[in-house]
This record gives sequence, structure tokens and C-alpha cells, in this order.
Amino acid sequence: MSHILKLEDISVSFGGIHALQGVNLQLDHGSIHALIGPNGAGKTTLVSVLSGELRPNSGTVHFDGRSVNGLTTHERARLGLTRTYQITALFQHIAVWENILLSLKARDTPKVSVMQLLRAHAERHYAAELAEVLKDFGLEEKANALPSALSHGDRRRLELAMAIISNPSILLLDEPLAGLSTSDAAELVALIRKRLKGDVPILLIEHDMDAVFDLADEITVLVDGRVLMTGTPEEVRNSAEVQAAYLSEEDDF
Amino acid sequence: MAGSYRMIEGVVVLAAMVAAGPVVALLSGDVYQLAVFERALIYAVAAASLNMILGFGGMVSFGHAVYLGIGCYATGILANADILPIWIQLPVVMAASALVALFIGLIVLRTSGVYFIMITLALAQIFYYLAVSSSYFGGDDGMVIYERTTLLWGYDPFDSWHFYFFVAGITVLCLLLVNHLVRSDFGRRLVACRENPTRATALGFNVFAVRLVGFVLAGVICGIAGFLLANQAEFATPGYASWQRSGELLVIVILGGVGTRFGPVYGAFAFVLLESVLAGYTTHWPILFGPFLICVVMFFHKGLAGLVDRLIPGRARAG
Repeated sequence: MSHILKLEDISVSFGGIHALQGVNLQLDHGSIHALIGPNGAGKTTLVSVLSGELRPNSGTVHFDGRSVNGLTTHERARLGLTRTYQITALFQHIAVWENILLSLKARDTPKVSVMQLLRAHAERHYAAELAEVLKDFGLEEKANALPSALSHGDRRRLELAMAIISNPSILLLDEPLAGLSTSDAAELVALIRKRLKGDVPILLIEHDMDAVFDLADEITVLVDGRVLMTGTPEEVRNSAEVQAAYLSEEDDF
Repeated sequence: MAGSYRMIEGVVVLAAMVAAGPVVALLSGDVYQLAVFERALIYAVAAASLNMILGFGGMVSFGHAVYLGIGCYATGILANADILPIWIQLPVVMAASALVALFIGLIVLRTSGVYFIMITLALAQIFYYLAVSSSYFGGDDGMVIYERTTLLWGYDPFDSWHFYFFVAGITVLCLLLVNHLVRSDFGRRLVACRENPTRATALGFNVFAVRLVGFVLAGVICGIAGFLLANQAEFATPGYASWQRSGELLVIVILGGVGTRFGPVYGAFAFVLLESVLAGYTTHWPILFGPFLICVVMFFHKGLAGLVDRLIPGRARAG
């Protein structure tokens, strides 16, 4: 399999704290790559480096064979590097349907143009697709609600919907299942599988170990900003080092 | 249904706005009353442009009056050079305000929050002091404008009625334009960038570019208000670009209702009419106006526009 995303020797420090130190990571077409590690290991920092919200102190992010280090967040988003947020980031005072519509528009016409000044917002053009997305993500009845009025699960669904319909070439999911019940999480995983076209790779950050071992093709374990190991779920599960550094900690819960 | 309601509401508000001046002038038999309403209309245009970036874009510009000044001086300089046709004056005014807005926007849009407010204020003050120190254009004393803009044969710019409808016509066009812009595809992107810039960026929107376009458009529309003001006052003074004037525009937007469709119109009429009535009793009229503003903000969600919504039976309360 060819890789679409490659991190080379990424280091990030905040003042004296080394959040990431020489991290290498590779994401292959069609794979689900999970990133696990204890709290403060640098998982979200890594996603921010990928999406361009954070500049690494050293190292290179390669996307589709070229360096994207010089690209801003919105330029990377236009290439299809799509992320979700750990704490849902929605347009709070805009109805659910409009959140989705904005994502569809960002996909098709991200740049500012004169046409946008002339054209009305509620285009019939998107009506069918909008209805389909609302149905698929179970948000039909809440289409006119504001995100602030949604339940936690619905917010997660909307967050995910906005990412998936933007037609990503890579999906970075930052704890998409956090705070969800087991059944809600399973439903959401099924949705991701259904909506995502064949070989879009996913980088999944998740604390729910059952979900990680169930979904991931490959797992990278991050501890204190360093890659402890990368391997198949089986390898990771059987690694004594990982057990010591991370999984045992989970047992404390 | 909702669409037709919006249209009826729009027609009623705009018609009432245009008709108010003539009705008062005819009833009182005093044609000079029109001038008060012309000022209200001009303020409505300026406030509507500020409301576009403040209410929909979340950009609190404390230097918006600078475009009133730019529009006013550009018009005055052309008029005193005997270049009077509107199709020359207006494009020049719009281009000048766009350039200034672009300059200011490129700087301030890198900041946010309090810094945004302070830097818009500081940059506007630069233009204010430029006007004060330009002895060629009258400096602190201002500049008398001897000629009004010409339109077509048969239009007499010094006829009170002709001129009133000239101002009212341009005001209506500007308000319709602002209303269209905030409802346009672009307008919704502007709102998205206000609501959650992080998410908007993650979707692929260039938040800076979207805001800059909004900022420049608002500057151009406020420049048009300055063009009207130059004609109305027949005078250009640095005072039009002062920070007090910028503050008045903010007061009008907040009084009328931030982010509402016709808030700037209600706010501008309330402000100008109260000013002209109260100033008749005392020069310390702001002492009375201040508490009024506080009451409106405290008791009516969405300012005067919120009050109007409440008074219309069967109209669901906004927000």
C-alpha cells in the first residue's frame, strides 16, 4: 500500500515542555490508523500539526508526496485534510441544516468569489443532498434546531457529518466517541464506515480501547511525545512495554 | 409564507422611512424639516454598513466614521473642482473608501477582540488628523462645498423636495444592497466566520479573506453615506471622521438592534429625531439620551428592532 500522509521527525515544544519529539508516522491508503497514549502524550498536538493549526519546531509533513509545511490550515483543508475536534466545534447560533450546508459549500466553493455576493444562500441545488445527509446522520427532526440545543450524541453526529461530507482525502478524528454510550459509539462507527468512500484513510485518536482494537488496522502508541511503537492491534496488545506504559493505567478506571 | 412576510415587512419599513420626512414637512408647513430626515437617512446607511460587519461579521469597528469622512471629502474636492455628475463622483467616492478600508482591513483583521477595537480607532484617528492638518482642504475649520451633485436634466439639487428624494432613493438602494449581502452566500460565510473561525478554517474557508471582503464592502457603503452627507451639509469637516462620530454609529447600531435587518434604520431615526428634539431644550441632551439608550439595551432584546417585533401581533419573537 502507498502512503498518502507521512510525518517525518516532527518535534514541537511549548516553552520547556517537549510535546512531540522526533515523531515519525505513516498513513496508508484505505487504512485506519489509531493513535493512542495516555493523557498529555501529545495526540491532539499531533493532529494540530497535521491540520496546520500548529507549526512544528522541526520536521516535515508530507501529503500525497509533497511537503505541506508551508500551507495554512484552510489550504490544507482544501486539499482534503479534514479534522474533527475533541470538543465539538460547531456554528452555535446557526441551525443544524445550515451547519451542514456550509460544509457542503466549503467543499464545492471554498474560495471567496463575486458570485457569492450575488447569489442567495439557500440554494435548491443542495436540497437533495442536504436531506440525505440529515437522514443518514439521524438529524432530520433536529434540522431546524440550534447546535446548542442538541444532545451530546447529536452534536457528535453533526460534527462528524460536517467532516465526512466535505469529501476528505484524509480524515483526522480527534476522540469522536468521547462521552458516548457504547451503543451510540457503535452506531457512529457504522456511520463512518457507510459514508466514507472506499480508501479514505483515517487517523483515529480514541480512548475507547474496544473501539480502537475493533477498528484500527494499525496502531501507534505515543508516550510523552515519543512513539513507543507502531504495529498491528495484535502486536500492540501483546507488547509488554505498551502494557506497562498505557494499558495498565486504563485499568485504574 | 415566511418569505412573503419578510417582503411585506421590508416594503412597509422602507416606505415609512421615506414617507416620514415629507409627512412631517407637509403637516408643519416647514420644508426645512426635510433636512432632519435627510440626516436620519444618511445615518441609517452608515449604521447599516457598520451593522453588516458588527452584527453579521462580529467585527467591532470603532473607526467606522472614517469612511463618512473619506466619502465627504472626496465628494467635496470633486465638487469644488466643478466635477459634479454623480457617475463620476460616486465611483471616485467608492474607490477611495475601498482603498482606505483595504488598508485598514489588512492591518486590523490580523487582530481580534479589544485589539481590533483599539486599532480601528487608532487608524481612523490617523485619517482624522490628516484632515485636521491639511490646510489646503480647510484643516480644522473644514471645507465649504459650493456645489451639489448633479444627476439628470430636470433634477435640481438645490430644490428641497428634489434633493430629499435623491437622498431617500440612494438610501433605499443602499439598504436593499446591505440586506441582500447579509442574506447572500457570502453573508452566510461571514456569519460562519464569526460563529466559529476555527471550524470555518477547518472547512477550508479563508477567514481572513472573507472578513476582509466584508470589511471593504462596509467601508464602501459607508463612503456612499459620506457622499450624501457632503451634499446635505454642503460642508466637509474632520469632525465627520472623528472617534465621537464612530461612537455615535455604534450607539445607533446597538440602539436599533445588532444583527437585525432594520435595526440601523430604527436606531438612526431614534437618534437623529431625539437629538433634534432634545437639543431644542438643552445643549446637555446626551444626559437624557444616555439613560434612554441604557433602558432600551436592558429591556429589549435586540434593541428597537426587538421592540418592533414584540409589538407586531402574531410575530414570533426573534432569538
